[in-house]
Amino acid sequence: MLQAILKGKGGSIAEDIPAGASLRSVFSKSEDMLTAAVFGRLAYLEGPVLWQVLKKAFRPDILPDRSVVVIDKVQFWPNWATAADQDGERIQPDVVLNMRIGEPAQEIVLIIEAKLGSVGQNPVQWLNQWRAHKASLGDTGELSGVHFLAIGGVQGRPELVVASFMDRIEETCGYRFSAAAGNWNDLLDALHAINVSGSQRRVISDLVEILAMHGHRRILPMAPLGAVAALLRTNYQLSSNVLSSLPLSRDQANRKTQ
Amino acid sequence: MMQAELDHAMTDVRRAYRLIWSYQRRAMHLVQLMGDQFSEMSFFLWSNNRCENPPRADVNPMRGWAWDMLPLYGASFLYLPHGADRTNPRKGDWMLDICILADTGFQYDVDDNEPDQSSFVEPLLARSELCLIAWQCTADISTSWRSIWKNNDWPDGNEVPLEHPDASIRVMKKTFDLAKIPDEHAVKKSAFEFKEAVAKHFGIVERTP
Repeated sequence: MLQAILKGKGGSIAEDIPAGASLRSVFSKSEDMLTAAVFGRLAYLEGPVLWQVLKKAFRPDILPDRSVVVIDKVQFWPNWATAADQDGERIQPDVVLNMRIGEPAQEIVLIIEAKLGSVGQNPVQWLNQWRAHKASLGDTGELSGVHFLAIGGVQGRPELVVASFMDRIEETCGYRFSAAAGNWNDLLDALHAINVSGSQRRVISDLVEILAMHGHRRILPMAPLGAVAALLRTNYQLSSNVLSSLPLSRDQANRKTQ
Repeated sequence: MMQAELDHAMTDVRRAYRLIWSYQRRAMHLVQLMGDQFSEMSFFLWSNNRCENPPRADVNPMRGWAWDMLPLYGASFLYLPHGADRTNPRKGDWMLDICILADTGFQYDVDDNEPDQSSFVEPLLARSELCLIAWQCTADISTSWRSIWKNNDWPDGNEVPLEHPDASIRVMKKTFDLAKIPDEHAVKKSAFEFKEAVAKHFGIVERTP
């Protein structure tokens, strides 16, 4: 949220939000606010924890297994001012994470493009951002260790979407790059699968609530309770009768103090 | 009594507690999801709606009922619009009561003793229910929402508003069979039906998130 305000993002309020609507309503419809809130919070996780969350949330599994992870920099909407797409629009990924992993340390750059609601990911946008990053590095830039992560708006199985996009990108420019995708529910599942405690647990809880405000909440439905009950079924009445027959002072049983 | 019978009974107690956990875990998720359907409202407070809440740590629980230690047997989760005045609501203000009743077979003892489950109706003849209840002020009130909830009754009927003229409050309840709310879709459908009823009877319009 702070990042969204600092960067002048968040846009203007959507037209379908009535006057006097709560900040929560505004927040729940803003892609920029969701991105800022989620990745701003993710940046507070310890490096190895964040790495595990990202590995669990995105497919295919392109991020190497590493236990040593350091977050060097988190940039929101970096201004790659020299880059523009075919329509002259400035190219701005949503988040760029600069990290170091492993021993000896390897530099990693994660370029993240976020979508909200029914707006789908777009291979043209992926390619534009890849090219813009490459341009921002200049002649000395090294693209190994750079990965593209797309979150939200992944319409289909992430591995298949990524493969399809890479096919189209290769047809356009003759090369592919390292990319993975996932939806906000995949991030939610990843957060639930992480075991941490203390302040890290509070960050995870905040992230779960942020996603819930956008309609992503993990629930256990009632339907499977039938199967649970079948495993535990017994004649409880007999046991209830046994327990009721235990000696008990009626005075104690009937006393209720306000 | 044979030791074997008591051993068996304690095994059933363990089974029962695990089943209750499985139910309560889902019931809490259901309430949370239902609350999400009212995007303009925030959680306010919760309470056991049949007995006392579990006591504070420095209060001896053995002086109360064992039912007090089963708060989700029947509980209400109250929600108010963001920023609402909790202590002096105005005419037209409203509160949402998401009520879970695990067993409609619960019966108070005629002599005010602690109810004994052996006197309840057969479980097959009772229901487990979700009730969505709207409380609305019909005038400006100088009483807190907590007091309003505590001191006034729900209506008996389904979708039949009940006026409490002395309290300047009216209440409407819509009841659902919990066994017919198996999944997220059913929760959202119930919320939608309740919103239609609230709009129709109380003129309150809540958007679907």
